[in-house]
Amino acid sequence: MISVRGLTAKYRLGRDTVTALDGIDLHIEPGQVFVLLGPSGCGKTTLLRCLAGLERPTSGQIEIEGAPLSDAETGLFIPPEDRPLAMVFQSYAMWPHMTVFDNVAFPLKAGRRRVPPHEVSDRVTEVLTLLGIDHLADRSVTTLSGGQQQRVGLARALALRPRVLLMDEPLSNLDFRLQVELRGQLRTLMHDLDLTTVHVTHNQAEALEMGDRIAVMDAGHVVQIGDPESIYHRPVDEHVARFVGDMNLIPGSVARWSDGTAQVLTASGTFLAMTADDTALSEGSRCFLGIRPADLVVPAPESASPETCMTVEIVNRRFQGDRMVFGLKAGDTTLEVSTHHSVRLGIGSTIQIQIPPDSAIAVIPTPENRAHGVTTV
Amino acid sequence: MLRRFNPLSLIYGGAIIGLIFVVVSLAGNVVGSFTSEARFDRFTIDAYVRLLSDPGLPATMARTLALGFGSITVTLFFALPFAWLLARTDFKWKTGLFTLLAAKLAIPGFITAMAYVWLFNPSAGLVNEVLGQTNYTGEAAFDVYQIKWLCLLQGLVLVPGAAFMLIPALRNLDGSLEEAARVAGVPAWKTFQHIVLPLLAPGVLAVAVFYFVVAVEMFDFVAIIAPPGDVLVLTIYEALNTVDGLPDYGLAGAAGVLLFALSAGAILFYVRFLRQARKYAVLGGKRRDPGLVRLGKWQRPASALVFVWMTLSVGLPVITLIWVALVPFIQPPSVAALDNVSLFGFLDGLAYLSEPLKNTAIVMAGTIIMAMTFAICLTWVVTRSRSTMAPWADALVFLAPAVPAIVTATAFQVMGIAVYQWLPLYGTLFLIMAAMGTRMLAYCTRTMNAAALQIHPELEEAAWVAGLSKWQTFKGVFLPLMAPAIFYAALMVGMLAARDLTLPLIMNSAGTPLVSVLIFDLQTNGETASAAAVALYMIVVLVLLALTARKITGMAEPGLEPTR
Repeated sequence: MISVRGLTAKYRLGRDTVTALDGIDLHIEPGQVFVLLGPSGCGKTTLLRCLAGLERPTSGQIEIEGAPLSDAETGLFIPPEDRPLAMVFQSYAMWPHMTVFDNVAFPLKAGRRRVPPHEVSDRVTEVLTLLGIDHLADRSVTTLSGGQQQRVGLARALALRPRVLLMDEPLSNLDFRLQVELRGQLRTLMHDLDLTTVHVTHNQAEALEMGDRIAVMDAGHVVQIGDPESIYHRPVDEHVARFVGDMNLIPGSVARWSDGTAQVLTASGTFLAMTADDTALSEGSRCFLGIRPADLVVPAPESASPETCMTVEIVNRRFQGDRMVFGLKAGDTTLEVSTHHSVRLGIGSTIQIQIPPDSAIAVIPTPENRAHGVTTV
Repeated sequence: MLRRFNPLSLIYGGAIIGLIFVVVSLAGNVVGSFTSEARFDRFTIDAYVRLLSDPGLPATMARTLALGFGSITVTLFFALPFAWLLARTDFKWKTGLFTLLAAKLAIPGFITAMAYVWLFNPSAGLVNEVLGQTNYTGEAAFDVYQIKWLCLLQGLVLVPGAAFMLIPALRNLDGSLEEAARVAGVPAWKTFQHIVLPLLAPGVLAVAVFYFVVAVEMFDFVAIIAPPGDVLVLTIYEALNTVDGLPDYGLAGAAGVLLFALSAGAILFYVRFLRQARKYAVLGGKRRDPGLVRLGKWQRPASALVFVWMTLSVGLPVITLIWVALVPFIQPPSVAALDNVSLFGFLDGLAYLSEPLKNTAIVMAGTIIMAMTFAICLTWVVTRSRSTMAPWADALVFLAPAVPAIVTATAFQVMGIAVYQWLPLYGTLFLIMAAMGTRMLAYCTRTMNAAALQIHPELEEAAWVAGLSKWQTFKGVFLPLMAPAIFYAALMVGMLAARDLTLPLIMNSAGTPLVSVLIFDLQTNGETASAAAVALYMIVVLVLLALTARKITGMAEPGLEPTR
């Protein structure tokens, strides 16, 4: 459906050249909700804007359904209006001098994908009804709330019946409850309409909940692509592990590995862990023993084999409503464990916790050479 | 108990005096319009009767409106594309165009007018001479003494100001509004037509209305190129300079009230429109900078347009001034004329300069001090105090630019005479400074209010909470943070004060000549070489001042920062 090869985007900032995208390769299947996830400045929005044609890549190619849209080599560049896609903007980009109806209708009347005049009204009403905002049709968009504007932005995109929908942080300007509510609704809608969606966000919970596949980005690179569960449970490196949910990272080194499991040597003992990518490991190299706070077993059951257990001191506790989080200390390393809210452990006491091998993961450090290429001219 | 003196009252005091000056510039003229034979002990409506019963009035009004509309048409023809080139494109001569506009701002209009008279006057204009077609040889090829020439020249001269006002409007346009249209399949030109233009319209209209007012009240060109038949400013000027030597303040006042009504109407329209435009204010959410348009093959036509404007408004006048300064009397360049070339004009001009230069320096300094003091006080009162005075002060200062310079001059002149027996300021430089300071007040407060609103109020609140008094906060936080804006405004005021001709021409009495009046007098007396030489001296100094102002204050050149 969408394929991106060797995409690089550089721009000048004063006297510096900043590499926003550094050789991106992606393939997105039809009907997928594909999420670009990463911290601000990682290049995810630039990548989306390159797909939209709002940004011109320095090198590389973009194709949608086999049709080339952009090829820096041959100088081919299809302008945004001629690409078979629609986009929802972070700011919603409502045209303030038009009503809700006109905001949706304008591209249908004046754009490349215009429809016969008598169909405009039906199309607009159809999407407004679909999104439950048909009663707002005659309102000026300046009088709408953020959530309503967001829906109008989505309606404007869907009315074009695009094959690809691009969404740039569509939920980030909404309050938290509305965000959570809309995540589920949007995902269902995208699947019902069988739309290929590229969704940019810096919110890992949103990414995990909405994405069929997620590409985690960092410093202009795609670091890992996978389904939400593999991204969450099998982060390829420290950056992904830290960015996607909390993870305890206990410093250590690789002792041995084979067939997706490794032994990680730490100050508190040697532990068995899964690996995300065997080929990235080498014997004796630095690595972390990673485990999610909810996956630690506290206290370790009687039956646990001693080599999966670690002795820790309880340092503090934080009540979070449905959960209770304890701060732990093992030598110089601090850990967190998330338990049921009813669990009580004495602060200052020393206990045994279990690190189940199938929940632990050997995490390699973020490669040092992966930094934004800033070169001064 | 004795109340301790609160230094804050100094600020309020300064603001109140500033407002009184603004009121004088409005009221003085009205008072004058009800006098007759410069007597202030009895009032009559005689002047209004004379003005309104003049059969020439409708034609005068029509010419005045034509001058306004003609000028803004020319201005927008250049200023709109220039602002767009600077704000939204990758035009390769941006820095050059920007410097050119800033420099042009410093060239006094009346000097441009003078140069054009020397080039295109029907009897002996250089171009007519070269073509061999003057009044003496038959039909002159060019006759500069026409409304259409006034429109062209005034229009050209207003381009930099209008462009600088348009640039923020263009830059503030939320780029994602255009992008949303493009991604939704709307082609570039339709996006421009349906999205950009409607959103830009309020800004463009506001600039058009503002410069309409400026064009109608501008006296620089009319003073030098008096067209056949009056325009309103000329009616006022003639009333003040009657054949019998006694100024007719009644008629000047009445015509001034008419002119003020015209410009106040336009300014009110402008305010209303701005208020309406606010409903298009940027909606919630993050906006993004509009990207730069690649000009590609349009670089050349864009450069050509800039070149045309540069030639007409800077190149031609400056070259003419240099040539005229070098020859003893106006003559077309020729081999024979080259024999007459001498530096006499430059030396002679220098000899005339000493006294006027001193006076101009005094006026510059006085105007800067007065305008800055009042403006800082007013800005603080308007943006920082919650005083009931604030909205009134704001409105009054906003109206001030609607008072034409020539009206301000008349008003201060009238007031000077009215209070002469108690306060003999009439005919002194001080009165000129007061009038100029008042004129500049609107400009200064607008610049400074904008700067003050950029400073987050929390910075001052933090100081109060930390135990500093309001006065200490004013001195220690507000003023230092405002310093760049104040310094910039001061340099601009100095420049505008030095180049102003209207106020000194109306208010100046013999004995305290200013450089601008010196140039005017020299040219009127036919000492063209000296007039041109002094004009060139003035331009060099003012251009340096203008460019330094931008450089020192580090005011970002709009449209030049690297944009993504």
